[in-house]
Amino acid sequence: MRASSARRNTLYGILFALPWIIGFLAFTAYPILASLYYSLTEFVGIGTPKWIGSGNYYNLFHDELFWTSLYNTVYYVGLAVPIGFVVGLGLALLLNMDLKEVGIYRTLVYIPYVLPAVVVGFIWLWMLNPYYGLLNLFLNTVFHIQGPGWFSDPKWAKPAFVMLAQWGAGGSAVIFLAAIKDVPRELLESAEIDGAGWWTKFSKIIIPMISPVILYHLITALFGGFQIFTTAYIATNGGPANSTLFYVLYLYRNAFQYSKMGYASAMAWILFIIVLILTLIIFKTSARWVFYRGGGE
Amino acid sequence: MLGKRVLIGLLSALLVLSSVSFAFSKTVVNFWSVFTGDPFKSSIQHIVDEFNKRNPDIEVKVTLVAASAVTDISKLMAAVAGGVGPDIYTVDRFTAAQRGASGILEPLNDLLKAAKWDAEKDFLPFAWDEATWAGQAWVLPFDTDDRALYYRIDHLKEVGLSRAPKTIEELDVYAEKLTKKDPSGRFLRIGFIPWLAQGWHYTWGWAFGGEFYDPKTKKLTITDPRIVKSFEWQKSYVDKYGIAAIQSFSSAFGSEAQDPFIMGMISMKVDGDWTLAFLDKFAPKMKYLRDYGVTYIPRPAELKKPITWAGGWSLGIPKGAKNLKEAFEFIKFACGPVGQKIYSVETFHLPILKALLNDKEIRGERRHAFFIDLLKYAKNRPPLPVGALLWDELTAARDAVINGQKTPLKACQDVEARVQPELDKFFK
Amino acid sequence: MTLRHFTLKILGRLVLILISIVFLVPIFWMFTTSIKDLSEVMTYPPVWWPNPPKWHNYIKAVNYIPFGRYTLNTIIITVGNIAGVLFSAPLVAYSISRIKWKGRNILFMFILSTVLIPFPVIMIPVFIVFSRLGWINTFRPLIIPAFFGGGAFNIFLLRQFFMTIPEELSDAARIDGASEFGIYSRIMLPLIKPILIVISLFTFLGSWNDFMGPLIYLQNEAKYTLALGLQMYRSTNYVEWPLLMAASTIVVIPTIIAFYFTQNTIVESITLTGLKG
Repeated sequence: MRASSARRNTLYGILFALPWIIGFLAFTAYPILASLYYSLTEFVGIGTPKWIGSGNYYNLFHDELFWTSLYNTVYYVGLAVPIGFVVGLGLALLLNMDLKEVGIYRTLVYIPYVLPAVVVGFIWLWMLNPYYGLLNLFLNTVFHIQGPGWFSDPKWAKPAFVMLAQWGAGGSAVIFLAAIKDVPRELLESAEIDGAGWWTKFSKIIIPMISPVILYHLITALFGGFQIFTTAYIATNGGPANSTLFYVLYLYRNAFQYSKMGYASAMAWILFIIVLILTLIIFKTSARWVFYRGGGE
Repeated sequence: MLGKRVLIGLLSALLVLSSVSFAFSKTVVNFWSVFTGDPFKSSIQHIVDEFNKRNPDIEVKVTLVAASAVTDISKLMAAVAGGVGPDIYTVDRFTAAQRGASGILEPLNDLLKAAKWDAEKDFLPFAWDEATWAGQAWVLPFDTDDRALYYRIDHLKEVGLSRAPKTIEELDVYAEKLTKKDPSGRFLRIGFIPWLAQGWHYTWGWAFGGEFYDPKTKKLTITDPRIVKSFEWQKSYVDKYGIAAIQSFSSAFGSEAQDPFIMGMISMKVDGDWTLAFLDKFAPKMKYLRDYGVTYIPRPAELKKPITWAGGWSLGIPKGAKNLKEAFEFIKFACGPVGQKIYSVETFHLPILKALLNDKEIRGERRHAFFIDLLKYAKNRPPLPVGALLWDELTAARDAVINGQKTPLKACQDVEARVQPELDKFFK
Repeated sequence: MTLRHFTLKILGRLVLILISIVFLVPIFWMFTTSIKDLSEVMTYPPVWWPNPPKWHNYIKAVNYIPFGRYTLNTIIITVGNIAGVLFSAPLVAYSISRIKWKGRNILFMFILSTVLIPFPVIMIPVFIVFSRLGWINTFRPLIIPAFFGGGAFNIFLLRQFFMTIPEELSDAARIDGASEFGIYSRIMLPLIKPILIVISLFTFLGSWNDFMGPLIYLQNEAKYTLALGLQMYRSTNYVEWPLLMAASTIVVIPTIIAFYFTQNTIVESITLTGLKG
């Protein structure tokens, strides 16, 4: 009985996952394996790759710019992920308020998230212009401090990216909001009857109840952060003095500008391993802090 | 009812047949062009129309490819790898060696030979040099540009200077005289900032008499003392004014109509021939020889010969092109005298055929003719399969020098150390 | 209590208005740039509201590229994608969250891993796959993969929500003799409707603004999308900022409208009515 039910479950499991499995085998498996192979070759992108074993990996570890780009990216992720989490969740809590016109606030907060990258890049450059940009104008008039030269100062360029990324917090706020709305009202009400304050409700009920979505947010933010490319490409293209040369930007240059596809593939697989390890660590610890009503793992 | 259906079926079959036979009668040649925006887009179309008219059996079809900086090369590489590339492609000539070496382009020597065309004789030497690598021509040059010193005559007059600076030493004196500060010490105007606009590493390296590459030894020569000196000289402006002060001032520079040269925030800059059209568009009130002038890029006093450097576009045939012969017919036409003339006259871009340099219509006004005459002094970036890497590394080196992170010599040594091994791979 | 409640509301409102203004800046700037002259774009001090506003830019922008055609192409791709994602993502997510089978965690890790390799290095092999299938220069590579996968992040999000639904619900249905697919389609899907809307919205945005995909797969100008069309406002030496911003404004409006009208459904509680205790 048990064995047959296990077999039945496996059958259904595979059946439901079949579209994805077919898609994976048809469209994704070959390219991923190909890139793994390329990483062990000298390859310009077309033609025949030349096998060089671990040469690319060896060279990478001796490439100053590889380390620079990795450092820049880790710096960015280290700031952008926690800040993005706080901002997204904070926004969601505010947008969860029982106000008549809250739909309008939700829409307005969401807008920057939907703008095409080319528009965002343009607005960023304008916002952060040290001389007539809005941000320094604001800092000057309200706090009477002279803001830095954001994108032109190697010290401030990375923080500028972290800050501007928060404009897109509307995207994660929407997901947090959906999760918060999903918290059973009865739980909150009975806590209120027991005299629980705002903080207790938040930390003891809301956070555990939305923890599956927090996990989702952390992982996707991690992935997105490590792969930051488009905005950096448009706004600074790695400058000034390589201070915003992020990992994928350097990878892209190797792949297409320097015709070093094999080298770029090796970079891709190092990134893969780094992020995979971080992801596995998060998943391992998640058993302790993520709470699934459905039983879960 | 049934009859009607049969009739419709027959008719549509006929239609299909006729369109098929029509397609067979002409060879369709796909041309991916990155020239968006007018007048470039329409001028390309004029060349294509003229070609199609003269070659009834060929139809060149233009597809505009979003030219967002370098992403277009991803599109081309994917298409060529997938065997569905175009027949003709616009290649930034400076990358032709690299694209040729990576096997994205068809070599053109045999086609040139078959056409009995000694192209090397017809094109300007720098353009032909850029189009070749390892003894093969990979593209045909299509247009070019070059660089000179623009200066504000009104500013010069204001401080009592009656002519343009000729040497680096004069330039430094001029820059000093033209720079203005307000009582609190903030810049109102900086006479000259070497690295602005087209004041690239190559610009000054060559102006100081340096050479970046020795084709005989196949070695990069970035540590050439004259190149190092050109970096040192650029650094002297930072030492004079302070990097923070320059950055803060230059961050107020706008673009288009708020260009710092138009706004009078700088008095002199090195920029390209296209700046003439740019000034006409965004500052129509500024008049040549009344408000601004153009002259040779200043060099150290001992170097008398004018100098500039040129880049530009070229047309190539991607690997695996289905209509090699027809594609070559077209690029030969577009880069030949007829295509060149249409494009040069309509867009004010500079031609690269020797025969057209004296064409009255192309030379146009005096200020434009200046840039055409300047071409005989033009250098080109070394045509190397590591050209893009070299450019990025030189730019990083310059940034490092300006920001005081590296000494000029160290920065130049680092460029060599990073790029030479990559270059060596191609000579193995 | 009520007074405290009242002040909280006022305070919250103030904070929200302030935040909204900050978030409104980009779109305001995009819009006001769209009605400027090229000469008013990068100025100091900035021109907040051009005088007179150049409404004509909108007509010029629409005529600058085949706007109608690109819009239609974009709609086809976007709708196809949403349909594909809604078909396949919940199925896979259901498999790895609500069916207890051995391989499900490994499969989940595989799904996540597929988005860990940066696109530039798999782009050419992916292209070769589609080229072998003869799909280049059609919308197929931009639509069909959605039906066979639906996006790792979508699957992940759905998984997280599926896992919050109590197991008793499925068990009760099984006892009533419902098939696995019946449980999925009649009980689970309706429960996670808000999340389905969320992923539809994300998918909509993703394909509406997608640049790389159309760039490499479409080789015929007549098949271009709006995101590609926006690149055409760049000229060799400068960008037609006002026209580009006018076009962008038009491109963005549908996404804003889509969000405004779906946000109420999104925040509709998934609360399991009738399943108390």
